[in-house]
This record gives sequence, C-alpha cells and structure tokens, in this order.
Amino acid sequence: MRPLTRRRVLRAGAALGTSAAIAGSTAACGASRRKDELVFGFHGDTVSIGIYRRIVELYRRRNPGARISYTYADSLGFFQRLPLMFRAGTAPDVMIVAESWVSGLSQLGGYADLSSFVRRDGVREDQWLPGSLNPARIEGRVLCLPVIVYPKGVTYNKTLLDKLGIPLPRGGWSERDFLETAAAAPSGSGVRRTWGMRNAFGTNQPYDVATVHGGLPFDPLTRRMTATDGRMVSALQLMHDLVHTRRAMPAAGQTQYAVDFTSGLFAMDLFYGYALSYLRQQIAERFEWGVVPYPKEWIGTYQNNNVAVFEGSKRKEEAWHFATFIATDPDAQRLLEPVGTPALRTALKGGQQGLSAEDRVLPWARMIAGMEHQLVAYQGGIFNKVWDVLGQQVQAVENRGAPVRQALDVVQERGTQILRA
Amino acid sequence: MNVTMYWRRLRRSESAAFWLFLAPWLAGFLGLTLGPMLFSLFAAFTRWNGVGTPHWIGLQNFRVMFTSDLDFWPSLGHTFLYAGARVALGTVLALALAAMVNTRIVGRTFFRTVFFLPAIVTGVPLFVVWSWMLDPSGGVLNYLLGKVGIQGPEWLASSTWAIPALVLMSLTATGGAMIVFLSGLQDIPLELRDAALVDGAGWWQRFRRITVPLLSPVILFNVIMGLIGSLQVFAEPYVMTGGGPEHTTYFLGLYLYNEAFWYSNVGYASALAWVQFLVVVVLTVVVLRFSRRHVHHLGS
Repeated sequence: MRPLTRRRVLRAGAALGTSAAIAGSTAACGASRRKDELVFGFHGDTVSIGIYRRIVELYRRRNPGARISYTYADSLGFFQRLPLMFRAGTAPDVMIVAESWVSGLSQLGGYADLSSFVRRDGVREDQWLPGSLNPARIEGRVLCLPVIVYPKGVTYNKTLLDKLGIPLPRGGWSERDFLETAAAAPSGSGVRRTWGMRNAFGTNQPYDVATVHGGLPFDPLTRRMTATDGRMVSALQLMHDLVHTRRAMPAAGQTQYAVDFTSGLFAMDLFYGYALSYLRQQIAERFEWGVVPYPKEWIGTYQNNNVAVFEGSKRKEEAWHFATFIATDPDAQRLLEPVGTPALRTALKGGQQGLSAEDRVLPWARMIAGMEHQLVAYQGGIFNKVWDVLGQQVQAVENRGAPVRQALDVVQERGTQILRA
Repeated sequence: MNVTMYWRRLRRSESAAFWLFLAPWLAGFLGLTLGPMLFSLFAAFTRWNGVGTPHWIGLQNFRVMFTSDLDFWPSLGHTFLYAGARVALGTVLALALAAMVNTRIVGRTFFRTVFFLPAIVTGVPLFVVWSWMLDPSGGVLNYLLGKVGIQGPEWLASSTWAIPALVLMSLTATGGAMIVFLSGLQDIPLELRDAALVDGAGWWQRFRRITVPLLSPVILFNVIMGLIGSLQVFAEPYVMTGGGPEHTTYFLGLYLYNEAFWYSNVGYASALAWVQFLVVVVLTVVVLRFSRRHVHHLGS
C-alpha cells in the first residue's frame, strides 16, 4: 500500500468533492420527476391551488399506492413556462390547461393525442356540458378533456340601477335593452362619475370584442384573416358607440387600473365564471348585484380549463387514468365548484352545492346553455401577434374614435402579413 | 529549500488559490452569461420557436427586422424618445437636487434622505402604485390637478401622454444619481470656488466655469449608466401599459420579450436582443467619444 501523502489526501478530497457536486446536481435535476411517480401541474390563485391539491388527495385515497407530486404557478407564469417545459421534456405528465393554450401550443407537439384512449375506454362526449370538447379537438386529434367551464353573462349593480331609477336587466333581453340600460346610467363627473358599462373588452381582452357577435379575426385552421367580416365590424362598432356616441363606457385603458366593477361606479360589467369569488370578496356588503345571461344577440368567447397529458410522459397510461379521474369523477368535479362550473353533467345534478346560497340562484343553466355556440379564441405563438394587432386597433377606435372599417382593414392587412410570415 | 524554489511554490499555490476562488464566479459567468449569449447569437441566425429544432436562415431575421417589420422602427424610436427624455431630465434634476442638498441649508440631511428614499423602492410594487396614481379618473394625480382647476390628461391611457407619464415616474427615482453627483460636488476643491469668488465671479459663472467642468466625469458616468438602463427599459411598460396605448410604449425590450415568450419567435427575438445590445454599445461609444473634448479630469 502506498503511503498516504498530503497530496494524495488533497487529490482524493477534490475527486470526492467533484463527484458529490455532480451527483448532487443530477439528483436536484431529477428531484421533480422521480421514476415511480406522476407529476401533476396546475395553475391559478390560492383557492385553485388548494382545490387541486385536494383532488390529488382524493385520487390517492381511491388509488392506494398511486404516487403523484404536483407543481403549480400563477396562470400567466404557467402558460409562459409550458413551451420551455415541452422543449426540455420537463412538462408535468398531467397538466391543467386553459382552452386557448390547447390550440395555441398544439403546434409545439407537447400535448399527447388522447383519441386512442378515448376510443378504447369508450369515453362519451355527452357526459360533459355542451361544447366542452370544442377546444380539445385540433386537426382530428383530441388533446385534452374538459375539467371546468366558465359561463359568461353580464353583472349589474342593482343598488346603483335602483338609485338611478333604471329597470334591472332581465334574462332574454336584447342588445337594444343593454344599450338603453348602459346609456341611462352615466351620471356625475370626476372621480365619482358613474358609467353604464365597464370596459372589459379593449386592452387586455380583444377576444371579447371579436366574439361578441360571433366573429374571429382569423380562421385558425386555414390561417386566413377574417377581420373585415360583418360580425367583426358590428362588434367593434358596438364598442365605438358605447364609448363615443352614448358615452356609456370609458375608452380602452381608461379607469382600468384602480377602478373595476367592485368600485360600484359601473352599472354593468362582463361576468366571467372564474371571477365569482373575487366579486363576492371585493364587493361584500357594499352594494347588491346580480347576473343576467348575455343579450340574445351576443355569442362571446368560450373559456374553460382542461386536463392534458404530456406527449413526452413516460407514464402515459397512469397519466390518462388520473386525467379521466379529474374530468369524469363526480366527487373530484364537485370539489372544483368554487373556482368554476364542473364540466361533468352529473356533478351539476341537484344544483351546485359547493356554492353559497346566493351564488346558487344565479342563472347558471341559461349561461351554460349559451356556451354551446361560443367561440374559442385561439391563442399562442403567432396568433398572439394577431390578437395584439387587434387590441391595438380596438384602442385606436375607442381612444381617438378611429373609423371602425379603417381599423379592421389594418388588422386584416397586418394579420395577413403575420400569418404568411 | 532555496529562495527561488520557495517563490516558485508560493506562486504556484497562489495561482491555484486564484483559480479556486475564481471558479464559482467563472462557472456562473460561463454557464449563465457567456454560454447563453453565444447561444442567442447562434439563435439570431435561425428560425426557432423555442421548442423544435432551430433552422439556419442566415441574415433573414435581420433583413426582415430592418426592411419589413412594422413594429421594429417604431419601437426603437419610442425607446430613444423615452431614453433621451429620461436621461436628460433625470440628469438635470439629479444635479439640481445634489447642488441643493450640498448647500448649508437647514435640514440638509433630512432632504438628502427624502430625495434618496424613492430610489430604494423600485420594481413592480412601485409601478403598480404609480398605475393607480396615474389613473385618469380615480388617480390621485388628476385629483390634485383638479383641485387647482386643471383637468389632468389621461396619462397612461393616452397615446400622447403615456411616455411623458413613464418619464415623470422615473424622475422620482433620481436619488441614486443625486448621491453620485453629491460626492462629485464635494470633491471639488473649495479653494477654486473661493478664488473665483475673490475674482468677482457670480453664482452662475462659478457653476458654469468651475462646477460643471470639474463635475463632467461624474456627469458622463451618470449619463452612460442612465442611457444603458433606459435603453433596456422593460418592467415599467410590461407592468403599467402592456406596450399600449396603441403601441406608444412598445419599447424594444418589451417587443423582444413578446417575440420570445408570447409569440414563440425565439430566433427573431434573439436577433432583436443583439440589435438592442449593439445599439447600447454604439451609443455608449458615441457618448465616450463626444466626452473627450468636454470632460475634464482634475489633475490631468
């Protein structure tokens, strides 16, 4: 045996240190994805996170021995990380994805085609609410299963409308009724000025402008622009009239920062199913409010959350099993009620028991029925650029009264260039 | 052991220690800065969505950028406008504040602290609060303007006022530059000013002929740092305007971010990033060249 010199000790130490560092970093990389467990990724606020964790616990109870870990982020952060996770092969085996992400990121090849699983297990489409699988179907494939849907309507400030002597909106109303209500509400000036309608359309949600009358600025399948379609023109004209002719709605960008419907300064606003708990918390007892379905001429944007399986998953069978559990198990679906409407019909039987008494009486059935014809606003990749161009032109119309036709011609022209490139 | 051998061993051990201590930084620099930079240089010549395989397209990204991209030139123009206004006004204001707190006024320490305070609070919380303050109908700024009979503009909602609003906000954080100016002012030998005073020079003459020339290296430093920071502006428009209204605050930094992470054009975004880098380098070199004739170093 060779004598133990100081140099040998140092060399051995260095070799050990290097090995430890390499082993440590390898272990750290693999820590999020152990070979024997499924990774479930989801997004949303703290309430959503708590609910998805409870669903995982329920699944574990039903399937002893199932090993699932989870990862989550806020919605925007999750959406922006998905392409990178697809690239790196680190996307969760099972993930919750918004309707617009399915189409937008489908070209990246990150979502597994679930068609064969659906056929094999005889998964029936009619078990979910109408239109639930619309966002999932991309070029003949089924890329996800529906989890929750977000019915849309119009929220109104009952206290304010009563004070101004304006009749409350009722179900079955028309766009004309809506315009009359909106036009009658503005009063006062300065910081206490009241408005007929909050502008939830322009800056951040150009989708809702396009789809109000059932239009889209482009056809996502043929990749052709349809921005000058009559439905697009009439929808943008509606925005123009609300802002400039009737002065019932602030222009895009105005009053968007500090003041929203919960301030009590708006007679009406768009209602999104996912905003229910926010509205209850923020408004509390300050004023009374209610929800009515859209005016009968309106279509709107379809919004929901789905469960998808990562194409690169090494455990697709288990992933599919867990995904179908979230989408088809009535107990798992009922857990989701505070953050959305369960997509599974049987979970809705007997009313939405997960909601408070005052929320249960909202016109869910009629809003859900309206979802069947709503349009998916395809996002992701290059489509986002077209939406940005539309958003920019919506601002031009609302902020400085640019002619509607001219604005949509710009969208058509620039969108064509973008999609061609 | 003779002296030569002793020094040789010492040098060797010093060299080993040097590399050992440098290694963590070097690993970080190579892995997290130089490596990604070189990769982005490669990506700038490819069509790549960040997920698939990059396709080599040569100079195509740059050709598109300079000839047919409808967003590039406007966003570059808006970036220059913002950076120019912010650096010019910020430098003048910081210098004025430094000159003020360098005089023997009552509560000098208090004012130094107050002026520096906004520089401590930076980032997203500050931008969110400013968004509220600049709200056209509910914001405190227009409320105060209304109190004195002025109808405030629509600030971030107006194509005309959005950039001035962002510049205005940036001016509240000139405390850092003020401190640098203050130390520069305190380095100016008093005897020079006293001599000028004896010679009958007034306040303006002393400021123009003594303070500004001797402060010129500090001015240069602040201008260059301000320029580099302003040309890379990103967080403010990202949080406060999203690039609007009508793309008036769609600065280059936000544009390349959107191209990379929103539109999945990572190759094109890399090309934009390199152009932004070159713009910063060229402008810095221009300012340094220009400064040769106008910057005076004490004792040189």
